[in-house]
Amino acid sequence: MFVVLLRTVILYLFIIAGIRLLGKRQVGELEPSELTLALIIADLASVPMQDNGIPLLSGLIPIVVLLALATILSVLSAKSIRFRALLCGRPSVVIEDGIVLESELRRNRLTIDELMEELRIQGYTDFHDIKYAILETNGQLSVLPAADRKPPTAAQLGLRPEEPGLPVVLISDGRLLSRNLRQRGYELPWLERQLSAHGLSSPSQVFLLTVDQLGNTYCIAKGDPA
Amino acid sequence: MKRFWAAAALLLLLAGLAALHVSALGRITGQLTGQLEQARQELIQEHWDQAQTFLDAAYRSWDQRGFYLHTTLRHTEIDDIRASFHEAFAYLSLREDAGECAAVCARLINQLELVLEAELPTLKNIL
Repeated sequence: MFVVLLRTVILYLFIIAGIRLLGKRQVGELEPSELTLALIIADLASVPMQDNGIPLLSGLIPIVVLLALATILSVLSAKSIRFRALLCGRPSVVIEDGIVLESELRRNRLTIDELMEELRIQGYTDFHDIKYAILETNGQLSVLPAADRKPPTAAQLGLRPEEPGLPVVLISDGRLLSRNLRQRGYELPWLERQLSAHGLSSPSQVFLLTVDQLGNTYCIAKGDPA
Repeated sequence: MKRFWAAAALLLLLAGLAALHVSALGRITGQLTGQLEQARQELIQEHWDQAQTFLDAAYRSWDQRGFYLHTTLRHTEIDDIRASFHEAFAYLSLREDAGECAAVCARLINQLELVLEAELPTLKNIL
């Protein structure tokens, strides 16, 4: 049992390190080659984990080879458009000017029900609202609404709203992030004033406190109703 | 591009290590089968002491490489070979049936050849 435990720990750490080396993109958006990689790695790792009769190397070597191949393929597909198209396929336009392109749906083995479901998820119920719907190589559907159906932007309305910038977390679950506070150019007295404005006296009472570039704060006290 | 070359180098390194492994295994099994064949020949002539010497040498040689073999080969194959060695030693200690003992040596030779054969990058193994 102890051998199984150690083997599992080694394989798990090994796979985590390997996936980290592949980069963040691999984790969230699986292209066909990446999905294949994930499935095979999972299977390869599970066999030597369970069977002590198989050398650990028999599980580790194929995983290293697969990760190396995946790295080579990802570099090649980043360098060559033709190779990328060969490896990942090309995006397909499935709706153009509000018209569903049946041939593209068939080519991608996508049913009209699946397409409508995906459109509903994205908030579209009327095909006429859609200029283009594109089935991406990772299987996600990108929808571009028709120009006259798009919500107007501030610039189109002639408004010039102030840019609040990226909010920075100053207190997270009761812990003060002093580095973020200094980076934003604030000191503790400023923070104390912000806390007292929200009826609080200590960072330990705060669940989340953020501040944007304009100095606007957002505060949730611990135990506040959602 | 650095990642590409690192991955390609890693693949080449693994291929090199695999080639070294096959070569090392070839040497180990070659040496062992030689000793076992000599033991078998001595057993056919019922030279028990000489056979014991060759078999002892073969087993020592096998046992010394236990870690390497366990980390690279399936444990069942190693256990089978170890069991065959013990069987041969049991016959040797009895010194009654040289034919049976020679047959165990022949089986050991065959097991070692199969271990090597399974590691060779032949079309038969790949397919």
